[in-house]
Amino acid sequence: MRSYSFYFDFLHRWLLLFQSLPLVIRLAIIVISASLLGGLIVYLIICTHHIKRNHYKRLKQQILPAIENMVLIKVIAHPHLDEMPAEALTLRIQDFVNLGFVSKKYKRKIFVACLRTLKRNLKGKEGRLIRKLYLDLDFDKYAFKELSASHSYKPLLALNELVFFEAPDPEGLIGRLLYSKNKYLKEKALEYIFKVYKGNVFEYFSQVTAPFTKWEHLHYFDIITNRKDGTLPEFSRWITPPYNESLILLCLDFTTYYRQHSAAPAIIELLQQSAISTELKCKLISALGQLYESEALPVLLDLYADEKNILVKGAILKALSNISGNETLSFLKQSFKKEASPFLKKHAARSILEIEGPEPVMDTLLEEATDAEDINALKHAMSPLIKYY
Amino acid sequence: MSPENFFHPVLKIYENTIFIYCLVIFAVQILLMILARLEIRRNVFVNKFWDIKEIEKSAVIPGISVIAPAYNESSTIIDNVRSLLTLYYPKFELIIVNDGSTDDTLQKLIDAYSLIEVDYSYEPAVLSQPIRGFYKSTNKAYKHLLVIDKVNGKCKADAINAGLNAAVFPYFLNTDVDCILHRNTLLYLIRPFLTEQKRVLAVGAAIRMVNSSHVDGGLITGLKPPRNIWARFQEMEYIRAFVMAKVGWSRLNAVPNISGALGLFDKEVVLNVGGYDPGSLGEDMDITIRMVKYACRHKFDYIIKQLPQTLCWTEGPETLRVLKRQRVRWARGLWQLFWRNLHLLFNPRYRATGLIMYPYTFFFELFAPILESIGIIYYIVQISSGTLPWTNATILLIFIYCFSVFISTISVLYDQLVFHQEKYKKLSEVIGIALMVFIEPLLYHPFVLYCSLTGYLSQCTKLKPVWGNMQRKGFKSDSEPPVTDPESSYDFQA
Repeated sequence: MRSYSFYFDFLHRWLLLFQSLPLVIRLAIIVISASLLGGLIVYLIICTHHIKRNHYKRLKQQILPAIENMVLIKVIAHPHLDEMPAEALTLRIQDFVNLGFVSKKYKRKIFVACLRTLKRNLKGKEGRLIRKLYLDLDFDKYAFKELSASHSYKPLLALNELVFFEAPDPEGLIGRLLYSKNKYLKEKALEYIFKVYKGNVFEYFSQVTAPFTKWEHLHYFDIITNRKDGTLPEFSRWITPPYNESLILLCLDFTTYYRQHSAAPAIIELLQQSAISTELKCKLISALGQLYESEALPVLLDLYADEKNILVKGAILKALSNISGNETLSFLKQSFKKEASPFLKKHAARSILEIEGPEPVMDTLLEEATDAEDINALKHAMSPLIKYY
Repeated sequence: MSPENFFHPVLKIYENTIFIYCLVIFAVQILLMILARLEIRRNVFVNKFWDIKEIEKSAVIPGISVIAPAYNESSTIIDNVRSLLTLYYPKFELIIVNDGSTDDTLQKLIDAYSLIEVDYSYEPAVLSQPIRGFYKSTNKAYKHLLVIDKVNGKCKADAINAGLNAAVFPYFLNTDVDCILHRNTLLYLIRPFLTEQKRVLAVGAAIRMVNSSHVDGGLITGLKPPRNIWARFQEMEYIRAFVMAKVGWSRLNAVPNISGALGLFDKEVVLNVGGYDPGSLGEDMDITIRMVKYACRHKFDYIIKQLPQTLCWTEGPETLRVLKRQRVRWARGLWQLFWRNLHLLFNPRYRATGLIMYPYTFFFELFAPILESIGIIYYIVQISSGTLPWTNATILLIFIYCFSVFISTISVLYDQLVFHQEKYKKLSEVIGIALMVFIEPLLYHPFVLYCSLTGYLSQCTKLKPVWGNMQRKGFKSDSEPPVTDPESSYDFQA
């Protein structure tokens, strides 16, 4: 008791002294104490962080060879891999369970990470067999459980895993995430739909209201073009003004990728509308070019005459390289001579080259050209070292 | 009224004002610390679930033009270009702008990369010194490389403008030819441009010192903290600036500048604001501010982002003479920029930049060296007159010292939380850097303060600016001894 009162008196005296100090000094002392304490904690965190990281690294080094070895023997070198589809093969799951890495969470995570790396690097049957191993080990069940976790990042990581392994979702849990407020979850759920759902996934396009980001555009394009099943819709359905611009841009990519010539009227109709952005206009023109749509020639020539934007004009000249014919050629030659912009001259020259080849038109143009800029543009277009973008 | 009676309340007001000034700085630092933590947390998480390699597979990915000016880089140019050519991205071009080098930089490039002069037609959208020639490689392995030879413009801005005129892609990376970039730099930097709904104007990332690291053929083979004490101080300073302050400002969408050593930009916006200003002494901060002004005047939502990952390594000055020249130029650039853009101050039209970042930087960074010097003089006067209250004065000094040490230590921790696989492997190396925070305020800070005041003074007296011809020592190679290049390269602002 005596010792406690000693400390109490000591603290009391310090408190009185502290209270007698000016406000500025009191504040300074508080900041000093907080900084010292904070600094000490930070040093401890740096050390523990480093130790934890090294521990995880060591653990990984211990576990990984065993997993990789087992996967190599039992999965990649499966004796019947060439004889039947990967999904029909039987894997001896007990061998993997016996490794002891399935029941413990942190070891399981290393296991899943290892399977991910292997699946990413192995295509075809081997890759599908690794997916089967993931499903047979019921790893997807743990991931489905984490979908409902309250932690904001856990469900997303779990969903990411499920999308990667294309785990089936009989209860439609992922479908419900399409209406989530979390944009990442929503985006991943849509990716899952495009990647895994059987049937007509394109119906979703009609419901899209929010614009896609450029990343979604790239990603969905790649996923859908890699799908082997299902019938393709007429993408021109969505190339109309009620749909948002990002969806139209995506559908234009599909149209050209799948060579849907029937989309040309819809593209021309949209192109003739005044209230469209430069990006969309250029994309529509480019799509007509890639579809080799000769019917679009008068529309493009009229548009060129009225257009002031140099990027749109450039896109027209570029698209014309795919629509050959005398009318196109004379228009391109005329544009090359008439236009003052080196950018447009270059595009016109390049398109002439694409249509006619380097001889004899280009040589004639080169002989006729007197202006240094014209000669430069022609030589630029003809140079095999300059890649045309 | 006696002079003593008059001065006493004036001095009291001054002391209190300075104390409040310090508290505001500390409060903003704490706020930035919290914001940076939130941003880093998000960044670490996004890196976990977002597979960066997925981009490379895409057929419709946007292209990037990498623009790197070179001035008298003869000794290192071949390795530097090779390093930049190893960048991992499916669609990019590398534009090296030889800015009128007086050595054999161009000839070395021609010989090493089988270059021949080509006719190149381009639209000069922004002003630059005349172009002497364009060079392309006959070797298909270097098909991405374009070398521009131009008349020296006496600044990096002019060289970048020349590169911009020839660039074909919608995004461009502004870097220095002697910077060593992480292999996936372009993949990391393009991500915000693709994933954000708002228009992204520019993205930067952290930059670090490569002094004392092992570099072979333009690639880092062993990362080590700088041994030279001045380079080590700069390392600490860069961690604080890039990993904490800028990332914190990024959360508020008010990044003060995207460093000239590494920044990916929206080319269209840069061209619309007239490109880089060769008359600016801090061209990187100048372009960032002009882009913000452009976006605000055209009333579109924009984002300027700073990533906490270290994606670029550069050689920092190791001598006080070179360091002083660099810092004086930075201070001049800051002074010039702030007086040019006074209309931004507390202007709601320029959103967070005009309302928060600009006023803070103006009052608490631009003026800090001036107030600090007045404080030092005040202390000296008080000591010499015997009126200094020693106890209180010491407590106030400890107060400032402890807080700055705390903030710097937090920065080291943040740095450890992001991208740790690319950092120093040993705990002793990390602690070694962290311990620098204790001597930095005593040794390095007074030097920086002196440089800032010199810079302000030369800017006010309109002395001719000396462009930073950064002295490069060269890298420690596994196979070759370090090279010494007496006069080469530009420097950039952190």
